[in-house]
Amino acid sequence: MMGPRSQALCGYARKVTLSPSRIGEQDIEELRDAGFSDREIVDANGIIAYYNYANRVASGLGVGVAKKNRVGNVATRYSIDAGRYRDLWGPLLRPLSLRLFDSLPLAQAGRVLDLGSGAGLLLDDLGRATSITSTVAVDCSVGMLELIPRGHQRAAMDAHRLGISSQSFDVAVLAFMLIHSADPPACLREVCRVLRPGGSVGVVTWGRDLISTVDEIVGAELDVHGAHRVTALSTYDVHDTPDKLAELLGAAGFTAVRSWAEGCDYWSDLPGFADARMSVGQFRLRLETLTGEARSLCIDTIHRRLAEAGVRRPAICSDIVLAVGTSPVSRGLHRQGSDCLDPRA
Amino acid sequence: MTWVAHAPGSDHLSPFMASQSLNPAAPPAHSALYEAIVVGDSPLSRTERELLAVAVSAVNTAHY
Repeated sequence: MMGPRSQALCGYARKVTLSPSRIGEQDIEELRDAGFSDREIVDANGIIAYYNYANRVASGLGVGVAKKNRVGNVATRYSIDAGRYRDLWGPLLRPLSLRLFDSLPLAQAGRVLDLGSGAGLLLDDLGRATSITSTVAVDCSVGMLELIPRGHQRAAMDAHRLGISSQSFDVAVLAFMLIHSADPPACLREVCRVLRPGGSVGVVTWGRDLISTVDEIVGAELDVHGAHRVTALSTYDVHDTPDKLAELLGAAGFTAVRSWAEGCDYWSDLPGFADARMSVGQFRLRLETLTGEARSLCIDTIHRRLAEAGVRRPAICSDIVLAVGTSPVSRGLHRQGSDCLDPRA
Repeated sequence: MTWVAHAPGSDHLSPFMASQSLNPAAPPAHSALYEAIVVGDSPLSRTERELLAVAVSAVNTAHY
């Protein structure tokens, strides 16, 4: 419950914002009755006027809109298809992510942040590292977080503005999440902030030349059959080589950065993988723009072409790019937590 | 990230401050106003000041 002082402030803020012409001396009297000095009233009015100004600058020029939309879209798309996403990508992404673990000091880590945890594929593996006292799974998609088994800590957050105190984790793992970030530098700066000095970050993401037999054929047939295009929510080309990823980590403030690429071939039953792929995300949305008849025809053609491609080709053939880095021991002035109300943040 | 261009050399500014950077006088003036009005000395508590910020932004349904 709000106290009478807070209620009086909120009432005044609302009236000054929505109907400033209807403010009268009576409103000031009411604030005085609630215990406010004239100086406090002047200060409150200044803050109210300032945020009306700031809100109109931000809304009027589109500050942060693209980023915000992307986070919201990623969260929504993953929440709608959460279980299917986990079942489709889990068997592929978990073993690839585990390749990062040998290069991270998990044996000495106490608190670990799994950023972009999705359904928590790595939580059991992290739990097996004996020194770890707690692992926190953070993701923007509530639907994915709900799939995490009981007993694991989880929180829904935007990776660009983490609601986490500075210097509170020993290790952060970002497994196949950076492709969904609209602003990878901002995301990595946040990770650097929440790691203790000398803490470690590990990143694994898709490399250049990701070749997916399924994606090629499904994408081409959707085009041929006239399916509408939808907004892609993944960006690959800003961190798809070891050099690019190392540069991003360095720019975010990490030191002792090491990055490398590894090969990855994923063999799968192609038609089965394609059906799963078409049941989530942008392929599902594109398929739904086709009428029933066109959709059946499109799916039949896809299955026929996949059968022809057959056993000779892996479902996905790519490099993965991995990197580790250390958060600086001395970092001069750093912010104490991200302050959403500070326009300079 | 905004709908308008930013002045060269404004990368160190937050997106909010950078949005006004084509008028070079605006970001420092804005910053000074913010200092004086929002974070400067005041008998209002930090909590009360944040309450006002949230109340205004909520009424404006402003995302920032």
